[in-house]
Amino acid sequence: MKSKLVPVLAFGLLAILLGLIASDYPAGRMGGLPIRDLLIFALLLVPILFERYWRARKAPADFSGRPTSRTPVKDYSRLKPLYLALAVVSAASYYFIPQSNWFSLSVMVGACLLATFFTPEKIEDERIEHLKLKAIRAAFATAFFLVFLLTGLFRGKERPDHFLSAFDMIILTMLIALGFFHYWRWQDGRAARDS
Amino acid sequence: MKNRLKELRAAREWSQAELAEKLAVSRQTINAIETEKYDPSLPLALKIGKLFKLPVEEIFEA
Repeated sequence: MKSKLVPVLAFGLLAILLGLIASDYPAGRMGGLPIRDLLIFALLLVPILFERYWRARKAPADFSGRPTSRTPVKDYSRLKPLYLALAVVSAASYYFIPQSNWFSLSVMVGACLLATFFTPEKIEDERIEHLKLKAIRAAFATAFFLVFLLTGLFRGKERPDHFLSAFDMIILTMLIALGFFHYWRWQDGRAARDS
Repeated sequence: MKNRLKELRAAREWSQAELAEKLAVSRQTINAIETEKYDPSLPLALKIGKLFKLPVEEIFEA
């Protein structure tokens, strides 16, 4: 229990720190140093790096063939609500903190949604990998279509400031991908309960 | 791809969750295979064959 509590607490503190930095980071501050961006990438890499560490500690590498399941040694799926909460808080802070700017916050929201999508599930098997690939493929196609549609609507008209940046595109894609993935997963689960 | 996974599992009186645990996959994956929504990879098909002590071609057919 103690071994699980320490990384969760450490991660929670890191998330709070990132949230605070993201909410008060107008463009050009900190001399243009991408401190926050580096922290976000560190946040994204945590499950991958720690997973390799725990796997190496628990058992030697298995070279007998491709495993049927890539289930992580540690259950990182518990981090998903944290990433999602951080994305929601970051997005909401745009409305509640007057000096915040969307360009800065969208990096945070996009990164958290990416982390939510790519963090390993409790049982990360080949079906999950298949569904995630299918979801991201469908999400890119849908997001591009929506962006073209929106761009077309504003053709010849005056566009609002920060009209659909690349980070907005990432946010849109990840939201659609998460939606598709969980819908298909829910369908699998529902059918399993029915049978 | 048609398969006899549901029939073989029922013969052994295993639930989807039990079979999933034996194969180290999720319950949803077993259901997706049984309902022919998803074709398993070769390593998983071989693992299923080994578990039921049957050749793969007797469980799956094109």
